[in-house]
Amino acid sequence: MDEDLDLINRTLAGERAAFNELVVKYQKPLYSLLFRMVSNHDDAADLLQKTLVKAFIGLGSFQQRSSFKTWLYQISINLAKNVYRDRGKATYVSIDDVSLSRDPRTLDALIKKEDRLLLRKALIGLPEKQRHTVMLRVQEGKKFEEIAEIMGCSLGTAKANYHHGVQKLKTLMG
Amino acid sequence: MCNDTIIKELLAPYLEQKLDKPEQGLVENHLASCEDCRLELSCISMMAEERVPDPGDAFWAAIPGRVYRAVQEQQRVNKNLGIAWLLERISLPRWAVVSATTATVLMLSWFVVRPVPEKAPSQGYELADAIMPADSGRVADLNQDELMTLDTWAVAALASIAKEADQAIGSVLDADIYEDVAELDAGEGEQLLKMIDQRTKEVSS
Repeated sequence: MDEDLDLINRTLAGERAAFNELVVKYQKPLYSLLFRMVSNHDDAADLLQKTLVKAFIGLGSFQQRSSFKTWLYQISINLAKNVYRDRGKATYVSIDDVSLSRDPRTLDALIKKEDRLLLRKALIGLPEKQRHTVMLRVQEGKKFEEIAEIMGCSLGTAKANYHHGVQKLKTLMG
Repeated sequence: MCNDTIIKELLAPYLEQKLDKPEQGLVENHLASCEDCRLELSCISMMAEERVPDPGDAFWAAIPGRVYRAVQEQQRVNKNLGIAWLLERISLPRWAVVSATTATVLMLSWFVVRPVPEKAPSQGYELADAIMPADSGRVADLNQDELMTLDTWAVAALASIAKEADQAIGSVLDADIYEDVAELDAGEGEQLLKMIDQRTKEVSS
């Protein structure tokens, strides 16, 4: 956190190296989150750039109520929501597209892949808040306190969103 | 369906191997007897294992420069749009523009069509009009003969006006006196005659 603050202050003072260091530090975790949210590289890359540009334009207004990383996550999730809304619904790989000839693995692996596609499909079908909460908890390894901060809700709401989301996934997978 | 929320909250950290020994034992004991939580753990595990494809070093290396240029460009655009932004903010509320325009039009209309009070005619004003020529600036241009003619006209006009005024005042006074005398009773009339006689004697003596 202190390291981030130092980098932020140096960036605000116009130091290009500090700016680069901040971008390099957070570009991979942000891309990972965004890719899981939008399921394709082009949108994830576009959203990554938009997130970072928005953050650096408004860097002077960052009030340190949360960590810089949490603030970046908030920005990226809000931008990704717009992509979802513009799209109407997210695209995903159809289970029919899985070709045996292109996947020369064991039957077990194929079943696992089918399960993964099914899970991805189920995850995309979740309500927005539940989907983001489950992703942040399971895929990003965030604690509920952090999720509440990122999602702008109470701790109880974050936990409830997670449990409802996982419950629906289980039903679909069961 | 299992409703043990404590165990369910421990499933993700169990998967990440972030639990201490007692908590880990608690979860494992529960999983041994709960199919619902095993399924949940399986789902969580599958999601956690889902790998995000790496776009490659070239992609990562280009990001800082791309972002920096985009920030510079955005700041330049924001700076150029500063005045436009301000004007936009000022002119944004349409109701305010409409109200201001309407008020201005109404005020201008009122100045154009407002009733102008007529100047009250006065005797002095008419007298000045009668005495002074219409264009007083031209009096200085008159020669001696013209001035004499004007003087004669003015004296005659003034005399005529004075005569008319005396007659009007006299007639008003006479009418008043006659009306007053007519209203006196016999005793008052006799007293008035005595006073007139006495005053006549004083004047003649």
